[in-house]
Amino acid sequence: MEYQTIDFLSPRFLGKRFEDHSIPLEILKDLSVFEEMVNEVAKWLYLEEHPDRLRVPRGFTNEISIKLQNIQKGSAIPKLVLVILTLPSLFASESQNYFEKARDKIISSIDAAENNKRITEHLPEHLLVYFDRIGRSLLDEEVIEFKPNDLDHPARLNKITRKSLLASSKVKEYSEEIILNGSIPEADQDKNIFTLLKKDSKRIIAPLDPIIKNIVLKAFNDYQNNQEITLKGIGRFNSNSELERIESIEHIQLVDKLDISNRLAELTLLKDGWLDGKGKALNRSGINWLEKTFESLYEASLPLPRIFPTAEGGVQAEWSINNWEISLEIDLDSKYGEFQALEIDSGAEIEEKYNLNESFSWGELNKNLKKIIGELK
Amino acid sequence: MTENTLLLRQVHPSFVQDGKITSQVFRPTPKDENKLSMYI
Repeated sequence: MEYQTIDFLSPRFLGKRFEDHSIPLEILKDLSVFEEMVNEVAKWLYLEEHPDRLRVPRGFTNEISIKLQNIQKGSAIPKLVLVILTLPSLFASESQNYFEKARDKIISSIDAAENNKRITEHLPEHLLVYFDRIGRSLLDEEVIEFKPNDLDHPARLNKITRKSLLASSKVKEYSEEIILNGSIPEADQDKNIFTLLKKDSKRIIAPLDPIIKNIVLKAFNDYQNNQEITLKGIGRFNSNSELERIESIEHIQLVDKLDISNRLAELTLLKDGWLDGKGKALNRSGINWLEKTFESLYEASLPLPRIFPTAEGGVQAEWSINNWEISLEIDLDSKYGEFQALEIDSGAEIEEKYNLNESFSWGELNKNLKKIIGELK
Repeated sequence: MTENTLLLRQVHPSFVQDGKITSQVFRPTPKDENKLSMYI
């Protein structure tokens, strides 16, 4: 048997995750769905052109497939090829023709979504449903350009164009990757579902799969002690972009009671006036900065602080270590921190001012805490 | 007031985490016009 390989598509993936010219495995799932879509669009085109036929010829899609040949630079460009069985098929070249037309139809539907044109002129509603599974793991700033060399019409698929494509499809719901925090007040081992109680007090139903059961039940049993979990999975949203349910869960883990990201997420819910009409809401970009900086520069072996809001819209981290009471008041605008440590019995004090935009200052903070713990002299 | 007098202080829920309160509640804040509470 002989095979013929033909260049088919080289979409460009743009975003931080693709900068090292590689593609995360979870995105490859989308390319696999893309092949399914090309198959179905090719069949639809064939039947449109042959109204007398009820089905496509046998072997129409059997002897042709889309394969990933390599990943090229810039950010990451997966080179997709059509692999066609050349002999003894009668349909191979005809299939190729329909696969290529299908590819072009899909690309023009994405281009229509990007330019606010009528999407259903290119593909019917029932085929647009495939976009529910293509591009759903894309992050906010990530884009797939299906025609990267066409500067006027690069056919960009991102979160926004994907939503437009789905809005034109038959599905009025859509799915998207989610990361959620919350606690578990209910679990039903008979129906294999559990309820996630989110921080905004909304309850969401999720599947209780065997692989996550241990963690879910631990969190459920410790619900009274405010045990929280964080999960990553696929959520199903209604047409108003409200999360309706969790469709599947990829990862779940118990959250440390002093987990910094979790606590900061809680504090972002505070609104202006939260402290008897006087407290200022916390600046969201400052919170994002603190979360990232803390994660990368605070030494993981040190105890986690408690984090409290300040009336001025900043945060204060506090530690009680040995006989010391320690606080670090952080201004989220200037990124400066006032460090104060007091040994209760002796009255000994340490006071420092840190520029927390500098990794050097985090090193000094780590050193001071280690001294207090007794790890450093 | 004696050393046995129990003083109660109302604290905003965000000033409590995992059963501990922030040291800020023992400092004057803008909502008290920066005046400390008094026992009369």
